[in-house]
Amino acid sequence: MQPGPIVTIRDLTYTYPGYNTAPVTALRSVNLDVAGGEKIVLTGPSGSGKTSLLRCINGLIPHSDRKGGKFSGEVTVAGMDTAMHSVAEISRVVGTVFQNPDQQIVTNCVDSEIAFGLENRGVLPDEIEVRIRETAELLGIEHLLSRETSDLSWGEKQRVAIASVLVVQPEVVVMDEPFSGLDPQASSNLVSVLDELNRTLIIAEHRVGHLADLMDRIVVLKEGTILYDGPPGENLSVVIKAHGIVLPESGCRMSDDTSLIRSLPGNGFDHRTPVIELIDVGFTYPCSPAPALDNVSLKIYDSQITAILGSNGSGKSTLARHLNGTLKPDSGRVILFGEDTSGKHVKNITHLVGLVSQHADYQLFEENIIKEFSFGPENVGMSDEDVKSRIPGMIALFDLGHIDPKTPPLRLSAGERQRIAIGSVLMMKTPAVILDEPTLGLDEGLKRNLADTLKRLCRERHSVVVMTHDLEFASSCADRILLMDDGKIGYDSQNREAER
Amino acid sequence: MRMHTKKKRGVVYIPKESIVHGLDPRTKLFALVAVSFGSLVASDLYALGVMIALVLGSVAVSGVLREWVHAMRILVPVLLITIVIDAFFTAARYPSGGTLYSGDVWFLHLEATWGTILFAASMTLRIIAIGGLSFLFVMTTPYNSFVKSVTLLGVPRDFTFSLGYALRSVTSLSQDAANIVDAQSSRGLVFDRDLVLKRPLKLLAVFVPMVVSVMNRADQVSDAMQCRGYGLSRSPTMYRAPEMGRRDYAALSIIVAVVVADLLYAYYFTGPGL
Repeated sequence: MQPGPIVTIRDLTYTYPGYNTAPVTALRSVNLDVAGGEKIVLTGPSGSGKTSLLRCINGLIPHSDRKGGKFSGEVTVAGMDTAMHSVAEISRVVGTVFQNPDQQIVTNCVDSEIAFGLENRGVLPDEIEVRIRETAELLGIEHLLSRETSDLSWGEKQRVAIASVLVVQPEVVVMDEPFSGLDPQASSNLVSVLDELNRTLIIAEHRVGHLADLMDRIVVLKEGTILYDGPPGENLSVVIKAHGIVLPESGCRMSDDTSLIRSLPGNGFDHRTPVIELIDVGFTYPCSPAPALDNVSLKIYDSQITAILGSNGSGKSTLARHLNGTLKPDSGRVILFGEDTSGKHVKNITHLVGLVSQHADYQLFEENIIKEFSFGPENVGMSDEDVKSRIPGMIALFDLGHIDPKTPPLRLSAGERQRIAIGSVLMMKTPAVILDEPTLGLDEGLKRNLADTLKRLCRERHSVVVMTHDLEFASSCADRILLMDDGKIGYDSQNREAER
Repeated sequence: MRMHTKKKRGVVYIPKESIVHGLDPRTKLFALVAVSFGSLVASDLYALGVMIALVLGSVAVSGVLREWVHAMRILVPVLLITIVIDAFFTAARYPSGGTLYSGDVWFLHLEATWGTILFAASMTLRIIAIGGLSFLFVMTTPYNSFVKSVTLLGVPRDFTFSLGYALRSVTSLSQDAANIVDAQSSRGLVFDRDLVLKRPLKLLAVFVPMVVSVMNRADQVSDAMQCRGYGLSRSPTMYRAPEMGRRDYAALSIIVAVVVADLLYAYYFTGPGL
């Protein structure tokens, strides 16, 4: 490690260009020093500039960003001015772990994937072999080395992506939400690995509770400005309160905080007729060695928010697609509003069950927000008057009033797109609504708004099912919690209540 | 519970431990070129039969016989069209052996001779030999190894890397397409014939998210490659580069011997190919 700061940022300002929208200044006069070996966490609400700051450190800004972006100030990493060196040159010093491992993996075999960075540096094959073994051992992924990357779960891909960065032994490692999609055990293991890592670490993360022992410093960003830079402590709480930032108090993602689950009310054994019922449902994807749903039986009732928790790959999304008929089970039955879905086309189900998919970009395509909100209702035969009368309420509900309704949704930020995607399904007024990971890209304030909206739907006798790995969000709104693991329902708060 | 074991279908790589899987992709590529050349040059049915035997023998020791047979179904329409066209519409070129059938169907004049029948049979065998060995190549060669082999043959790394990533992306993009169709189905969009014929603009609901998905993926992968030092070294190394072994040299010897002998037989006994 070299003495003095390894990363120096002076008066950094960056503005993204606007296409049909106003340019957005992501970073404003940022100054930051990071000492060699230091471990810091960048946190702040969605859109606060965390990812942009990381992209400035690894050189993607200004080298690889949209044309028309305005970069000013100076970023120096290990003596290199990032504006004067290519991203590949900077990569000798800075390793980057992206948020989505799927879009980081470039080969089809795990060992080749980990070797990729070393091959690019001209490291000899014998040396590559040794370093792959060492890194795999460090991350506990020796058993994955001979696997194909396409067969890995999200968590496994994330660990392979991290290994492929650590294997080149960069002096600085920047990580953009590396814990998203990892279950509590995997998160805990990763924290241990990072803690022992003798490198400079800069981690952008919404949740900071589980990183308390790891970090030397915390940097809080809001609207591109550093509000706090120092050790976590009372001063941090004062600054956060003063600026109205909502940060999650704990870092738990799932069932690690079992007391939280235990405290949730189960509604007791329910004698009502279920809105959706799954009976011994099994489903296996082609080429998959294990079933995605393994003999799942479940009853969903109206006026109830059911949260289904589980890590990525546990079967939540597959279950969601069974609940609205887009997937048909290999075995067992799915009963919707008293009717078996086996012979039914999905078009006969969409007016009963709305599904908000995990990625907003899979849904959004219209040229403006109004049309995006109208698309679903028109397809299910809702009248124009009814559609028009509901749109202002939906815009207000999702705090989109500051945006021109004629703006193309695809031009908006990730959080705004997510809110429009959710709103466009709620517009259909289906008696049951399923939301697959609805909190992706939402900060704490917006999550609370969403929780309130779901509670209101519930009061209006809708049935709401939320698939998530965000335990805090689930606990803030759910009447009932189920845990999924390896395609099975491992825990149901309602059954537990009934047993009591 | 009734368990479903869903097999890989189509022309995709099937991981197995077999002699064919273990061969260097360059050996398999050479075999494909040699057998294709031999099949196109030879016209004699016996000579083509030897090529078919070589392909079937390779399939038999590859451990993917069932999957290969299933994949070969794709060729059935091509074979049927070839047989009909060659058997009934090439009599002017192959009149030998006398007319077996002559007649008019609608506005078409059909005529089959022994010559056209033999020509149709030889074309069918060629398609089976070339198509069958191509399928076997894909089903026994991980594309990563294939890409490395092509790089070792001297093809520029930028090209081979792009080829490899394009092959890998087929799976990702088909998953994205399925997710988008599901998302729009969930919003009440009905995917039927009317959608294409009467409401084609609604197809934008799939087309736009697909384009966004492809562009995002390209953008993010490009960023990730730069951050991992792609292009940093002028002479990047290759981890686990494929190496030619004894099996490869033995296989190459057999292929060369069989193809050359077959072509000599075909040339001296039946003349140059059709």
